[in-house]
Amino acid sequence: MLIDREHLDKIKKEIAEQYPEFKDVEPEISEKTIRPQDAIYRKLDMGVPKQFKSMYRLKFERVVITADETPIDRILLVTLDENFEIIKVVESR
Amino acid sequence: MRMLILSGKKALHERIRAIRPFEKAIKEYIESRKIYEPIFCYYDTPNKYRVEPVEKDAEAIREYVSLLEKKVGEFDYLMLLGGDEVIPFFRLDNPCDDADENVLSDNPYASRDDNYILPERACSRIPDNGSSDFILKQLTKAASRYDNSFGLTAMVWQKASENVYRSVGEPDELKCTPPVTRKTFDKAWLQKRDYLYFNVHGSKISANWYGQDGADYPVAMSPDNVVSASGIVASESCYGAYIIDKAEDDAVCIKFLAEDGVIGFCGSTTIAYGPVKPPSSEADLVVKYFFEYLQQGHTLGASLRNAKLDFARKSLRRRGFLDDDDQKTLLQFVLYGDPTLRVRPDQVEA
Repeated sequence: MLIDREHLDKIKKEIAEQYPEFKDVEPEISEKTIRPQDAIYRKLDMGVPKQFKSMYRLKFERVVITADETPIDRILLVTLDENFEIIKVVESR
Repeated sequence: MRMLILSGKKALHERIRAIRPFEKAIKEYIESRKIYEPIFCYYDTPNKYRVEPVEKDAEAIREYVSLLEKKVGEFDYLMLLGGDEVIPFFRLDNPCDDADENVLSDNPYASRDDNYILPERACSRIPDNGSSDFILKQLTKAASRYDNSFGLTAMVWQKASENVYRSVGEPDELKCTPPVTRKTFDKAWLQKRDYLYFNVHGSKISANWYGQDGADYPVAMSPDNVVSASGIVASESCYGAYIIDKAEDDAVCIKFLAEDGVIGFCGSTTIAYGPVKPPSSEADLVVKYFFEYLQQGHTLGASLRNAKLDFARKSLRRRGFLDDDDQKTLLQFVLYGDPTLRVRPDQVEA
């Protein structure tokens, strides 16, 4: 398991409270290794890139039906740092 | 300042038939934009710069632009004339794990190196909509000044949208959906405006855009709601700029561009992301910066390019890296319309 049960439950509780639409959705969990983005830093003239080992991504996904019966994929992406702290939450438009 | 106007003769002819009026309009356009030193080329016919014609293939066309640039000098602006059937979108690997197989993007055309997440050129596309008149209309548009904006947001994103809309209007004037629906939508909301902002749901298979309040997803607007609209349109909706096999009746973006008063459309070709509340990130942040540059007097093309670069800088300062959805956001936002137009021509571009 990528994230221990205690951290996962805590995050799921927080998401359920703030995003009730995704309350009963089981997230898909993945670990992402961050490769150094030197080229991007260079192109933006931003100096030396920070070094990261990895981050975690929780994807909550469900299909909803609109008033005109169009199915829409609803996705909530939660990004965690190496310490399993939430650093970003975004959802599909 | 140098500008390349690019199209494909064979594919364009198949789409619009009437090539002569099109070429005449291009000549007139070039005359009217001398400051940009525009040159026009078909990628698939011989040209005076002795760059070998290429087939209708995104990579080959990009290479053609690169070779042309070596002969002529660097292009600051690039205007692609035609939809996907004439100049194909790049089908890039989707950095995000979502339903999009690829990300349709013009970023590689806008970039000189292989790091095309970050564009150098101010790039836009004029979709053909299968009509010569449609293209000619885009080439003769000019902005009018009204000092008035309109914004529509899904109710659930009201706070996030206010943070974007405040760049161009009063946050408390932002309309929410619900209660707004296609049936209560007042067409006057889109008229005599400088900026039109939408933060709503979209779908690849539907012409409509949708609001949200909890589990309620009303139809917020459809192409029928676009009547005598004006201004620059920016939409965060998923597939807001998706135009493949679409026409005026089944894509809000094309309906907007068919309006005389709408000078351009900025939106996403695929599933887009954004926050529920401030601070702005992803699609919210790109549109916010886009509006800010337009307000400073920059052209449409420069505003989107600069917005993407600032978005990348901001994301790197916040977290130190561009994650999957940051990268997708940078690739998926495209601009339709004449890239040299400005909403605020009275302001001086820095």
